[in-house]
Amino acid sequence: MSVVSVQIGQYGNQLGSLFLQNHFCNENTENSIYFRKTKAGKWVSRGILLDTEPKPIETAVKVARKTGFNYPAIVRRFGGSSNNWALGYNCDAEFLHDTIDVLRKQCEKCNSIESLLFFASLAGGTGSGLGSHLVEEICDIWTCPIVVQSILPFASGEIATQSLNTILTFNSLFECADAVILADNGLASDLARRIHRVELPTYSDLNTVICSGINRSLALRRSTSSLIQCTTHAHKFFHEFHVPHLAQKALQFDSSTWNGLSSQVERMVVSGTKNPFVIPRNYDQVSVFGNFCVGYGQGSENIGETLKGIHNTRSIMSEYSWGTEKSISCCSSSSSTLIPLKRQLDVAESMFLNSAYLHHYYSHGLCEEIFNSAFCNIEYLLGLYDL
Amino acid sequence: MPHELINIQVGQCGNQIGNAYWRTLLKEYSHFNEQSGSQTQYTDEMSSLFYLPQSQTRDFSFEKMRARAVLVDTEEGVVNQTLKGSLSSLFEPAQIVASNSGAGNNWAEGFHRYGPEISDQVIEATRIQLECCDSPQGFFFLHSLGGGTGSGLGSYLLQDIRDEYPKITRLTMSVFPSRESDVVTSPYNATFATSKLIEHADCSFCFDNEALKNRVTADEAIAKRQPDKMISSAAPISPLTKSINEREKRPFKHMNGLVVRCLSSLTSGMRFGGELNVDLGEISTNLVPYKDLHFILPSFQFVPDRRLNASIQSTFFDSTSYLYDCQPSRECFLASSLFFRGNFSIFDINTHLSSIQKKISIPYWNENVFKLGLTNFTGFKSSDYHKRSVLGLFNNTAVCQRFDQCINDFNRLYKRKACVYLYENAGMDTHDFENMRYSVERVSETYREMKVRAQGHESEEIKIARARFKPLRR
Repeated sequence: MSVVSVQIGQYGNQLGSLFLQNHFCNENTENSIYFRKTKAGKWVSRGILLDTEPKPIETAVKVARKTGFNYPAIVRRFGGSSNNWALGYNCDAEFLHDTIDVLRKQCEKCNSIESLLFFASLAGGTGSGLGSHLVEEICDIWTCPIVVQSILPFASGEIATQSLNTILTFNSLFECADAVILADNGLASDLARRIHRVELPTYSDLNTVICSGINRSLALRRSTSSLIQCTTHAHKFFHEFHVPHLAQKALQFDSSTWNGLSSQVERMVVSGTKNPFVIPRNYDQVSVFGNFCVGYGQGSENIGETLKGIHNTRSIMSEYSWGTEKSISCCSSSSSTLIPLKRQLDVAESMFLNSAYLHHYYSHGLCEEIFNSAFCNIEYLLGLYDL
Repeated sequence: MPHELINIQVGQCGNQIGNAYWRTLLKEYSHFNEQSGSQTQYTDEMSSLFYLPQSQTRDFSFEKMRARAVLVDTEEGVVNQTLKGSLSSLFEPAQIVASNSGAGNNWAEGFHRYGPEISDQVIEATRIQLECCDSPQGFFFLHSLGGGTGSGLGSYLLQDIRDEYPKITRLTMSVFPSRESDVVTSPYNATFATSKLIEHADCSFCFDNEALKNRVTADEAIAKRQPDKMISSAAPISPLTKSINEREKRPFKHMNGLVVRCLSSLTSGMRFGGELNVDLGEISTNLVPYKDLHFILPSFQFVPDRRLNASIQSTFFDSTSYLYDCQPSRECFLASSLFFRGNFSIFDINTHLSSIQKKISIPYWNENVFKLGLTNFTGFKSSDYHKRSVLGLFNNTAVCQRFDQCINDFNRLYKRKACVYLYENAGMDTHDFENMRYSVERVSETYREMKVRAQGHESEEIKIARARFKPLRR
């Protein structure tokens, strides 16, 4: 059972390559999920790299070669996407066909595909625009399940058009993706400062923090399909966290018990906080729609029992211990998952109703109708999440 | 690296700034190559601004490179100086288009007479440049607005290039004349050129001779008081020991140095690596919320250690940091972007920016207001003071202050029909005068309206319009 990874755009390539690097160092078997061995005996990734700018791909390839594997399938164009969803979406049809061809070849080399794993950002141009178009095409032509890992931008703003891009991407993902795991830049920087004690975190620190959770959730053989089993038609957006979240130096001194860890997980899932060190003031009952946990370490069969109390939980156990003696990693879909999206929607609606920045989108083929329908769909989605 | 930029230098000012720019770039790249220890002189990083002609693909030295540029002028003085000087090997004869009689500080001469004559040659030269590119990012026009060639011929070329290559971004670095300019017709020229910029440019970076001169004087005054800080606001490598008299006599050299510094910081994100790379398309997407309001004000500061907050504050609010004559503090920032060169941390910057966000007036719909770019490489060997710098590019409603002044000066001359016969002889009539003045007034009015609207809150109509997105509650 293999997973083909697709890394799109600057964020996608940076995070995806870190993800595969960590995976490669931790797991090296013949029937690996994300890698395969070529006839020459070298390890290559099963996935593809995709971008409209040369730098992220070059960095990813360099880093991978140092670690010991290679990327056989790269599709690139030049020109960039100027933080414009419309430009990413309406790239030329030839580019898209080339990508799907390359992806098909990579998939044919796998024995059986569990799912496709996309890494793309929500606020940029390539990851969001090109990513959404690709997801839509693949959803039409193949029946393969699609899992997307995305990142929400800083609330204080990195890009002027980030809200519009986020809403348009969410619109596509809502219809076509099977599961979406969301990470958050603001939260990751918070964790980096508090736990890893990095005073002034850089983007690579944030990527490390985010990756540490996602690696654990998606490392095992049936992770993505179990994740998809936790979804329903609309409740397919997850946020992920793992306990215990410790700094590098403290890992060897950890002494948590299964009871302690699973009660932490329960608290976080039920109260909707993502930061394990924040004790929620009021236990507002958030509705939990789906929950997927992976336990690592000896004696992890018990957590299946403790967490069954939470609605719609699937869990997998593994004897392998990742970092600490015992750890649990959890992807949970609850009504607190889409709170950041609500804010982005507000800002995007203000911008649209004041016609700000719209000429960039209209000059590349979008029209008012698409925005209108995107806003309506997202409002509907937020309604389903009780927001 | 495939994002290529093509420079088009028009007129005396444009060519002088251009030449200073190429010199600075060569120094920057040679310093960079030293630092990164590359074996050849022409490296990949340089491919966005320089190229190797077909026959010379084996030889990677500076002498064999050519700049991606087209030099246009109606007088031969400046262009001949370039060809005789140290930059002569950078330009092939096909890249230079020059005539000999000059435009007499008359926009209409440049536009109606020289435009049709020279534009074919210029389009041919740009076509040759584009053929050497893999994926061109945009055209950079360098020109002034007060004279005849830069403003008149420059506007004609802008129009022509837009017709010929509509999909490639056109950015202009336009230098407005100072109010005490010795050219009598500069208000006319500036107004006409601005109206063409409104129509045809995608993004215009506005400089002002007045502000540049003030900045050079201010920096000098600081240098006199604190000579150990090696503050030279001028061309980056000029030593402080040059006498003050010389600076007064030839201030343009130092003013050009300031413009070049901005240009170099702008493009550094594309040319060198860094944490957050910003290319031209992203700049124009983030800074231009409405199609007509595409006039950007640059503001530049060096950042000494531990003075990040003060430097960022002064980049935003101090009218001395701006290279355009305006009072920005009480105006509205429609969009802002900051380009940092040197060793900075994104988190540090975000903290300072969140405190600034509370102080500035921004439209309520543009909360995601700051676009950031971070590059590691500073650019030249210099003291600690020059190690880090920040360039702010702001779409600020203060730009209309200068437009209004221009229109007032225009009206003062036009009321008496002074010098109008010069323009009529070259092919314009009163309708042209009035239409172009009207388009500049209209944009100025739109900026003022934006300021007023942005200071308010969401109106009732917009609240009602929002409600139609909500699903019907059962």
